[in-house]
Amino acid sequence: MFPTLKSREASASTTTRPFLRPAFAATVGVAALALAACGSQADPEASADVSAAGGEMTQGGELVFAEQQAPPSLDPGTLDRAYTDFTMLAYDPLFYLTPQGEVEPRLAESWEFVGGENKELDVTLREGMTFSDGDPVTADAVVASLEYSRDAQGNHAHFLEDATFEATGDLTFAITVETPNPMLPKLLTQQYPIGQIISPQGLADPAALDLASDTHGAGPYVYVPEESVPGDHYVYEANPDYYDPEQQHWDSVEIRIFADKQAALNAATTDQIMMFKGDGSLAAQAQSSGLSVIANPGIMTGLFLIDRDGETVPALGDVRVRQAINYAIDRETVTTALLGEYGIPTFQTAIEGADGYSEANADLYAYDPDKARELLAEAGYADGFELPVMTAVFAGFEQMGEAIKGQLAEVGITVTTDVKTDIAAYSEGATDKSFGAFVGGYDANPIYQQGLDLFLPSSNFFNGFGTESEELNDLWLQAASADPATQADLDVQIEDYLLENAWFAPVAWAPVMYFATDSIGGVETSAGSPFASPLAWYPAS
Amino acid sequence: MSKIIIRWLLTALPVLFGVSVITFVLSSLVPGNAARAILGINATQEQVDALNTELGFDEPLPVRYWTWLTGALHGDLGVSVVNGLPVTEQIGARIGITASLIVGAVIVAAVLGVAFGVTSALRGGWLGKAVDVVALIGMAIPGFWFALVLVTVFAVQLRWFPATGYIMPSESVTGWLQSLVLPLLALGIPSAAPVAKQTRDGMLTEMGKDYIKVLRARGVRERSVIFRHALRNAASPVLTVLGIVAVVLLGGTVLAETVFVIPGLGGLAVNATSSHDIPTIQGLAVVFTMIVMVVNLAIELTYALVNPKARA
Repeated sequence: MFPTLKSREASASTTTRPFLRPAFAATVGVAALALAACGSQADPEASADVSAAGGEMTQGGELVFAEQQAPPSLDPGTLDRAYTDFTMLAYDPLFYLTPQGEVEPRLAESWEFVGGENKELDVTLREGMTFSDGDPVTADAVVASLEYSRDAQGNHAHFLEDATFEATGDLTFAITVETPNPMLPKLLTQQYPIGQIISPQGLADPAALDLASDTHGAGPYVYVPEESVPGDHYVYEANPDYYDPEQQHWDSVEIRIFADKQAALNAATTDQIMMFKGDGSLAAQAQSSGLSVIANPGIMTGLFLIDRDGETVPALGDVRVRQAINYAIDRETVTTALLGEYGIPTFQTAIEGADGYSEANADLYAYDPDKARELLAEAGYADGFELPVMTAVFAGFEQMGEAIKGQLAEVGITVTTDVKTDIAAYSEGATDKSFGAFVGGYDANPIYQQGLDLFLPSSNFFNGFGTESEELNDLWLQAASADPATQADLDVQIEDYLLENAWFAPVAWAPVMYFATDSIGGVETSAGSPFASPLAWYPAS
Repeated sequence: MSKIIIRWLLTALPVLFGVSVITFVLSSLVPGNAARAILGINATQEQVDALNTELGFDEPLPVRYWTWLTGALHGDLGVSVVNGLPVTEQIGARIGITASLIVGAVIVAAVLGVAFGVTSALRGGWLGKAVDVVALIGMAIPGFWFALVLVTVFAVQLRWFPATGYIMPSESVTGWLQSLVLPLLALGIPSAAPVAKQTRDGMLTEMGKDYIKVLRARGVRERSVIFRHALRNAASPVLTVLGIVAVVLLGGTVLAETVFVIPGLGGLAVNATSSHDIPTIQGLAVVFTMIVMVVNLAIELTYALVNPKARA
């Protein structure tokens, strides 16, 4: 067998212009419920079904895994969650989302909502922690970092836009929000960079939190710019001052960029890398090569009908047209063709059995092309219309777009697709009103978070035209501060509203697929945590 | 020789200037807002405008070009608007890798192409036809597919070479050579096809000329007739083909860098283009033009060495 090779280059000098704040769009959000309580929080539904790979845990060695896209910076305040693996290694979050979807302590030792309205979260930090640059981890430092992330206008800043932070002691602080937010702890886990805490030294010059500089976090590893080549590979070494050495499973970590998934599969097959993310098209080949496939169908993929007032595509302004689109898609066929055993057809934004799922509308959009044609005719589009749709080369969106195009053609709707090749262009297309609809993906999140991400006017990405419904806003606000039973009922009402008004045309619950060698353990996902976290991975014997 | 170099300089400088102007103007016409891409979807228009001002994007085009040109003349090609790294530094870290690929692949193409071409011309018959067929196949097969076949057979199945990655020679010379074998074969073998065809045609023409008969009549050894005389005279068009191959390979390295995950200029160009990173695109355009110009100079100098008439 050929020995594992490392891609290495001598590092050049590292002077850079200190002002850039790259940030790209969110395509998916975090999954699962967060209960308004103190201490560890769990979602029983989410933790019930976990996909995992790996043998017995050992310690040490080098973790080498692949990512598809290179990050534009290492600034947690501005970075999109698509790149969170690059920052979570060096910047510990306040809270930790386990592979089972539970929220556990990290920098925060304990936390508690006070006042009964999910508006104030009191947090206590662990004692004796330091950042890798030597600064102590204090309440003042954490407050400054959260304020920076709120104001830095990254793609997840909207989670904190109405939040204020106040240090109430050396190690205690309070987060206060104007709108009830029962999910606050989950939004500050490692899955979102805004929850990753930056030291005062780092915040003194946030523009220097780039790829040529040292990191300023309190995480288990520190970035080594001298051994990294941006765009190719990123090297981290164990942080000697980390407060919990048992969580440092590796001596060092290397993330390599593999734009081509077949190349990543070849590298994993020949033991050059231990793990990579891919899609269903690689599953059979990966399994026959001896790799483990870890997958949970937790990403709602399909068509996001964002021009609901018909600004650029007048037809979409008519609810009957949006309903017709939903009736026209044969979800069983598309799901089987694209995702095989790894997908589940859906037209709801809530997964069956989870928060918000509507039993009453469980069969609402069963495939019915005749009904679709009927509705189109009633809306004055008996001869169809042209629908520009944005898709992308990643996450299987291009193939999903082609499948939807074929389905809609059957009822006379002519879809023209524009395939984006990178996250920045995709983000821009979703928000600049150049497309009435786009193909995308979104986690199986509770209805509360769906409001933040999908359907409130402030949810930029999945509501690019800023559609506002007073009825929907009211339902969401009531649910945010309601008792659990009332909230469950209100969440179903919200789902019913979204379905009956056809705000979206989901097609399937698709998995994020991980392919792992037997040298790595802890690569686990669940419906509550569909993205595997490198913090959980360990060397397997 | 000095005349060739002076003539080359007189041509190269205006070409470089022209390319830089054209690239700058075309880049400014590309839709997309770099400031918006950098700041993300939550940024206000005021923040976007402020960053545009900071980046100098609100300056008139000639002013922006002049700022860039004066920096470039001092070796400063600006900084990437996506990751903030100096463009010169990024290109400098990768140009050696791409150069290794191009030079290595040209050598592979030259050795294989000339060997097959000469053999085919001299032996004729079924061997000549076989070379023609192989050359045709070489030109027709998709490079991406051929690269994947090489990886599957020699890396994944046989484990003779690494499937991906690049090792700096400073780290391990053996590792460097091993990491280059498959990429060079993937690039070099298809490129050998036109070289073989040109060599064969050139050799057939030369071997049919009267001076070959005279040389043989004088008792000159056949090996000398072939390699010192016929091949030397047939070399000029072959060199032209090799020059074209080298320029085409500049684009072909994108393929090799993708399949073999090699951090060269091709991947940098693809990423810069897709993310509207205009300073990086601009820098790469100039560097690619310089590479093409250097290849042309190398070809002209080699011509002069092979054919004294070309030195005039």
